[in-house]
Amino acid sequence: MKRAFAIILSAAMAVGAVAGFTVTAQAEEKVTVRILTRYSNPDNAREKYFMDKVAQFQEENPDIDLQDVSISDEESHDTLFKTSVAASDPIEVFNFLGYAANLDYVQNGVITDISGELEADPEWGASYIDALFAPVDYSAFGVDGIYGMPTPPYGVCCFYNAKIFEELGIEMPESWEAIEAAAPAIIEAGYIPMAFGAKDNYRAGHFLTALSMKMYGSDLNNALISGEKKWNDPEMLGLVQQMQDWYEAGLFGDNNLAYDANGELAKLEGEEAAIIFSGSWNIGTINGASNISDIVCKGFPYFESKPEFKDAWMGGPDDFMSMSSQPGDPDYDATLRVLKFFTSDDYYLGLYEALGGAGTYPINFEKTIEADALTTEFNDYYSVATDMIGEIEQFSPMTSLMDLVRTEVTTIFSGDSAEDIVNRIQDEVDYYNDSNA
Amino acid sequence: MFGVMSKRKKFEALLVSLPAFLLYSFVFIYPMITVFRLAFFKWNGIPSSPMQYVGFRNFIAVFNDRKFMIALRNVGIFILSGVFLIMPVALFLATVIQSKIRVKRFFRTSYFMPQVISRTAIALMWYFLLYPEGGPLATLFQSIGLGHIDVNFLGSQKYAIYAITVINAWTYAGFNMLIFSAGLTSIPNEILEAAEVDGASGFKRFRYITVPMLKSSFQIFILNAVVGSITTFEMVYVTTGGGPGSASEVFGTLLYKNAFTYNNYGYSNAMGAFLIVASFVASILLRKMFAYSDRK
Repeated sequence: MKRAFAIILSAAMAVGAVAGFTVTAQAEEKVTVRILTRYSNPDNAREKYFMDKVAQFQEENPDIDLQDVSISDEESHDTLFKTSVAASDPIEVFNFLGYAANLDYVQNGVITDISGELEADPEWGASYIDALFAPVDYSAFGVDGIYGMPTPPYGVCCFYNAKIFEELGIEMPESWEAIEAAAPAIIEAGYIPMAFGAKDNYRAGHFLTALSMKMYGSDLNNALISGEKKWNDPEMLGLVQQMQDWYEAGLFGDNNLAYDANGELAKLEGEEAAIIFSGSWNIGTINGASNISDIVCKGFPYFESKPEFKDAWMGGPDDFMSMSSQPGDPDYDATLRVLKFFTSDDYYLGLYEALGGAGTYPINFEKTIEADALTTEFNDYYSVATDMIGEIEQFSPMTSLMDLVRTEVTTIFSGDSAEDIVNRIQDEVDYYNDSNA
Repeated sequence: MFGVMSKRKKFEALLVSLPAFLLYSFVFIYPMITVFRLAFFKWNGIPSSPMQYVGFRNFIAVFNDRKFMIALRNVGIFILSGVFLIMPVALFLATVIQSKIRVKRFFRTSYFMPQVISRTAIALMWYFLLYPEGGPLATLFQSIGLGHIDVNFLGSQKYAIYAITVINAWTYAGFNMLIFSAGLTSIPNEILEAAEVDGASGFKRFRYITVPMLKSSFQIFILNAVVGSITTFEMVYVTTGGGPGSASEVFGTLLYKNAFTYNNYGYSNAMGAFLIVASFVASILLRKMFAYSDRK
């Protein structure tokens, strides 16, 4: 009995050892590549498409262990990436924001220069819109190369509920002057003229940049970044003051700090808001709204007194798919394969078809799908843009500036004065400049 | 301790304690030394980026930061709320579950429940509770004619920190109830019964017997409240993230933002070093105060 037991045990151990060896050998062959995007919500068509493509890649590439560590929340996404960098184990493929604010990552070799790979494989990237590469071109800082592939571009635009305007007998206002004139009647009827979900502090940052473009074009952005203008100079003070005046006049409704960007969409669908300022990234979601037939897309309102900036936009390249593995690293080839897969023409063509042509894309397609009404309306405005920039703070090497401006401007909704807000921003900018002099 | 031990015994004792010492050093001492070391450098968190020695500049920046003063004030509010809000509530709850009522087990579980709920779930729950458009509190206020009061306290620069202290009290009262409950259990019944026989009223028994005999529980509570307030982070982070503006910033949120949002690791480590020192000094001072009070 003892002997039989010993034999069984030995056999089990031998099988276990062989199995263990097999598993280890397989594991050794596989190269692990992590991918970090902000696509983790299966209810969103664009994100679901990405998740399906991850599954497809995993199936087609058994030699690569592709781990999707994506997370929708922007702050969590950034923290995950930054901690991986600080721990000397940067995530291999990720969304990179580009611009001067992220120059450190490029200068210190965290982001791989893919210009050589693009040259070696002319088909990869050939269909991309060249202008979208500008934020990952750091030649102005003495760093050559290309540091990522653009993701779909965006534009800050507005969505109107045409039914509300029809009911009130008001023409949909496209300028700030017209919105100011229409606001009392809209408020009187119990609607919010323009919903502003300030719980997400990026809403304030987007609004401020979009507003500055309509008032000054990109001149103010350039002057602020070069230091020629200060944040508490009359120009920026005037813009923040304008936002505050509109808030106090009820243009943005109330309880703004209690709801976020999704709340804005809910107010549009729930017929509480006549207008929301949003962006092209929400076209797909709004297309699924129960009252889609009432929704119209228009450009961000302009100033009648500034017709020269009517077509100046906040928008352009959103972020980039970049990689951290360097030539010679054991996982370089696998990482490059992952990057190419998720930035290929096929990937975007599939997305284009999956979304029925809705939204914007970083590449030019040979075939055209007849897009939905919102996309068509958006493109009518977007295609005539004369000047376009991302959020002002992205152009500054001061990493904290974006959060600072967004957070401070949001305090309009909790009673801070415009003057205090711009003074606090300038104080921090001065301190940064002194520390880095 | 080792004086009466043989050399062999001493060696064995050292050998046995070595793993614990190494583990402690690895997870506590080493990171702490690293925090103090990095506090003297300017660094963006990228390992390949050179660290620039800046002396005490990060500490000076911390103490000159407007937000540091806001955090200091908020930590003070947290400590006061611990003493004046959590302590009486926890003591009251402890007396309830130590009383002879029949459903005390139900109360004990109910009071402790918030302690085991995820902080994020708690934040979400309170967010909806305080939601100004149709939220339960807003509806209640409306029904009693107080509809003009803006219940979105977490979105108010003036009231956000107070709202957080209430949420904090709701969350931690149950845990502190256990501290006081343990203290109450240790009071011999004979003393209370003797006082009762002597004609002492319920209040007098509480004031002259229960409270003095709970001294060590109070000491544990106060130590936890002070050190916990200095190092508080998660409750503020999940409810307001330190906002609106910087109204509810505490040291922990400042540390987090400077490291992970602003890539300002030197400043962040200076803040971390301050937190370690402040917690250490606070606990030493409190222990000395307690020891002095015990001797009196």
